Amino acid sequence: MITSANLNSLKIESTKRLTKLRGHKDLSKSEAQVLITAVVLIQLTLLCVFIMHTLMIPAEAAKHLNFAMIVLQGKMPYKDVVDMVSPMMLYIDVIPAYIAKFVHIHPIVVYNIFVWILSCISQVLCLGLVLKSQTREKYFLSAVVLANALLQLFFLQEFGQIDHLFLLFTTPYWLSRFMRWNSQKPAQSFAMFAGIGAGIGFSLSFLYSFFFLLIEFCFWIEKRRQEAFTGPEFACCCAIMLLYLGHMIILPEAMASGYLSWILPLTFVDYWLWDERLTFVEKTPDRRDLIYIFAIVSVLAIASSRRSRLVIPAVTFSVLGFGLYLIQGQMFTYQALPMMWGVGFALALVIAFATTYLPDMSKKVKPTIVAPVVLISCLIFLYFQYLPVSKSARLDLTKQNCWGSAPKCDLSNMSEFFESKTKPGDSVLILNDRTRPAYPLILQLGLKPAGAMLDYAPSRIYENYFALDNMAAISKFIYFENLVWEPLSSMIVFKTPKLVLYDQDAMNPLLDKHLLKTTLTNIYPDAVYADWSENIHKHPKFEYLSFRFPAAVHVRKN
Amino acid sequence: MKEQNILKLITLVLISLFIFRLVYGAILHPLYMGWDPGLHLNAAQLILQGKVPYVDMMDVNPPLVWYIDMIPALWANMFHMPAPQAFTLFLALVILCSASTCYFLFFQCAENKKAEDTATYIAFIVALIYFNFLLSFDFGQRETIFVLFYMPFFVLRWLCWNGRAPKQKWISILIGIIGGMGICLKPYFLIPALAVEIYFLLNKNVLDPKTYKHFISPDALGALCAASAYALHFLLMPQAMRDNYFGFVVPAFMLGYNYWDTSLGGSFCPPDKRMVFWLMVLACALALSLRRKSGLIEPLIVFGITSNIPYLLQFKGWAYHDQPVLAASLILAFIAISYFLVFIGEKINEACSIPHMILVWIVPVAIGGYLAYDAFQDTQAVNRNAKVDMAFIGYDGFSPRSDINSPFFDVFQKEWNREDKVVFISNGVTPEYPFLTQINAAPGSRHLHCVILSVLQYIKDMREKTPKNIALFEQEERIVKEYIQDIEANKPKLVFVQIGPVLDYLKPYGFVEKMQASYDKIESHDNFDVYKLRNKGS
Repeated sequence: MITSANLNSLKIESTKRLTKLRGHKDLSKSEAQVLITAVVLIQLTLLCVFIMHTLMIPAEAAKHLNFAMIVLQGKMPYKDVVDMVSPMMLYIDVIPAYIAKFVHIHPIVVYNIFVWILSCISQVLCLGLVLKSQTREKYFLSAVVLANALLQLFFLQEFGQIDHLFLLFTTPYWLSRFMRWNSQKPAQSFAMFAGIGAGIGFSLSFLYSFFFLLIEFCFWIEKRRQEAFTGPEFACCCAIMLLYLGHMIILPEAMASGYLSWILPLTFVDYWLWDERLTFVEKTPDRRDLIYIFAIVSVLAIASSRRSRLVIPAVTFSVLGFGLYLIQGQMFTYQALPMMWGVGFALALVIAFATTYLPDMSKKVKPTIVAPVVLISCLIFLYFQYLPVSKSARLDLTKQNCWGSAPKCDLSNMSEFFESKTKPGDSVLILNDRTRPAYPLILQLGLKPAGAMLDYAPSRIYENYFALDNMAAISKFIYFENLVWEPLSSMIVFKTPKLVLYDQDAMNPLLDKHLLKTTLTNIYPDAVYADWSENIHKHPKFEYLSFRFPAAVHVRKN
Repeated sequence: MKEQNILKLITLVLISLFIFRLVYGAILHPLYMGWDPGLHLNAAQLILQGKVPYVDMMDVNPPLVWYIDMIPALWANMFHMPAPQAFTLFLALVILCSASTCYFLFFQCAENKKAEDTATYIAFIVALIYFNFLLSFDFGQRETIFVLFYMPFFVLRWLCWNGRAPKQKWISILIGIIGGMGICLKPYFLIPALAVEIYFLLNKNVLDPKTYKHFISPDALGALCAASAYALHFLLMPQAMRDNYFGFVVPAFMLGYNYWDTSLGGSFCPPDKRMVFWLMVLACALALSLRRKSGLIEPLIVFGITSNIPYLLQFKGWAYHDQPVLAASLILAFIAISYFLVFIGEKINEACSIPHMILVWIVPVAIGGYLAYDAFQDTQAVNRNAKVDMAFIGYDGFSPRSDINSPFFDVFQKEWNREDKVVFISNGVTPEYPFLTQINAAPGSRHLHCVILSVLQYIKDMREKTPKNIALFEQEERIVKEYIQDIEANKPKLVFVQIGPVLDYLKPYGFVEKMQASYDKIESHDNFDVYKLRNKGS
């Protein structure tokens, strides 16, 4: 017979089950302490890594930083110095570039610490949103926050890349939007700062702006709550993005023209075209493992989606991240970071679901138990980071007017060659249609790029486009293409860089087309070769597109 | 109830319209066929002639697709029609059965309470059929057949896991058998199929033993029986066939198939491939937001995303390898569009009081109009462009010249008669296929192509020099000798030898010199040297 006592106990049981099922699991005080401790330890681990690996920086991040450094010397961006990156990335890089001018610390160190500070701010915002907001899913949100911090260690080699910065700026926003769309109240001030950060993050590239629109659209399609658009984080994000868009009107004409008429449309063209050379085996990085992980985690997460409302947004994040990865057509690992962040969030949630089957640990999960475990893990991680540093020779940074020294194990391939032929402050001309080998070497060794172009990717894209539709290529880009090549000859003659290096396969046709070969052989009669595979075990592995032919090098004698 | 009947009628009308268009296409294009389907069909024809696979007829694919293709090959013989036409009609029948089975499962077994339910089912069926229209020369690949065989099984598994399986067990068993056959076409197809099962399992209570009964349902057992029968048949096949397949073809391919590998960028990013993956991303992202409207959406997303795994495992970047991804993405996209149409229909109904059932008829009328226009355009193009009289291959009627996929058609018109045998020594399936199947030319060698030589070359150049690998590579000599033996025995009228890279494989064995004893080189183009048998009348 059903009695009221039976009914009550049934209700309590089903509420408990519902709580477990729907992720209405709150975060106990000790669990919150564990979370904060873990995030702090991860951040400290990161800091220690960059103190040890003084010159560790991804190639693209180094190039963007050098772009900002040269702009601060008074050069007009996208005219006197050119990098295929948005003005927003330039503005962010100006901060560490500016600081590096006044302190005798290597710009790469300053940059890494700057990004680390941004990372700390991002983690604080995430923690604040989880701990201070009125939200029902704190336990699962905390798993996401932990994953957000931990993923930086898994992708350490991409620390400071534009995609990493995008995630630092936008992850707190994504958390607050999740809460807002699910009728929960993110903590006001944290949400506002998250929105400001997101506005910056989404403005780093037009692809990210598109990502922002799609994410909001997906939330709206599911929830259909117009009031979610009134949240301060959304308002601040849109305000920053509109401000950024609007500021294009007041840019100096040369900069606006260079970016809006050349670099931005050329980036579109690059994403649209396909370089047939990349079809050959290993001519793009082979990260099938990331896609397998994405697929497997998606299955596990979608199957568990009833446990938490966070799951589907995490999977959506990873799916759209997969789209970002594909659209760029190069398959560099850093371009997969948004996808892997979504995967990491989804996986963290699945693991968190699994932990709910364990006996209630909230009383036992104390910082005094967990903190040492996390600390030991971080120390083991640091030990493995320290091993190559301990065996490595050191580069004296005082020659670059900076304090201290740096382990040579972080120097890019070809560094021995460059060290033997140049000294800090020398001007070098590296003609290649990829970021490497110019970067991060130029920045690591304190060299200066001769010429306006930090790399010659714009010319590669132009030539590919020309082959497809020469009238369109000429009408859109010939003016800028001429700006790239016309000054080079006189620059080589009158400013004679210490060293000129070029990939013969990629650049010979262009050098012949623009009559530079003769100039080079006249000014630099002797040529030698620099090989990519030089001392390959002493340097970090790197990703590269297409073939790696030995580069021809001309060195000035005095 | 009346509304339901109208919607069912609309679904049947839509299925009929698409099938009619396919059948009309088969009549208009009697020789239209893709390269791999042409090869598989030819292999099936040779089996019907009594050839033993991997012994008298050498291809490198697993045999299940040939057994399936024996059906259209038989039709072609029975009804004296061109084999490609029989194949297209066979596929039209498969599509009809697949769509009809899904129709039966959706409208007889599935929940049908909301407009979105019906919209989902109709969109699913329409997309499943329409997907085939996008495949061009890859229509009829193993991936196509897998999708058509598997999708009714997928729907049935969804119903089964939700306690709505059909009462008639024999239907479930039959759908299971066909689904199992589809999965067995390539071992990779097991991955998305298993992923879907894992999804269903994790979606339920994994700690409850009753959950696992769904793995012993009639459909699951039917699939298992099909797979077991296929596995068992390898034990029962002739010894020579088994030895050649497992002792040579399989180990060679496991080590040497990488010859045609591409890059990760080459798999996803070229213009002719990327639209499928962009569609997948957008469709999955949208569908994730719409998942509450139908329980079918999440497993479809799982199927679509995990179908990328077989695509990457094969790592050739060949467009047809992503057909399961395309199918799932298209179905999801159509489902999303159908919800949008339902929403628009409701708004129109609110604004103008036009009954839903009137509005719903717009869909089949629009689709019928599009198909009619497409058929009209196709007919105009066929009438306008060059045609080939099929009498030269022993059939009545004409075929559009553009359907005959070969740069050597002129050579054949000049030099070849219907009884003449032909040999192509090429490390690809094309250009010999689908051409030889289209003109019903008998192969003059047991080797339908020399893909295996490139496989062996890869093992020689790239694999470790272990005794096992050396023993594999040494088979190259046997294969070249078999070509020479077959040419001497069968005296094919024409022999086509691929210049690069095949001539390099053949040179060490004096192949060309031996050929020149009885053959004259008459042409050289499109990377092939063409040899004609000396002193045989044209």
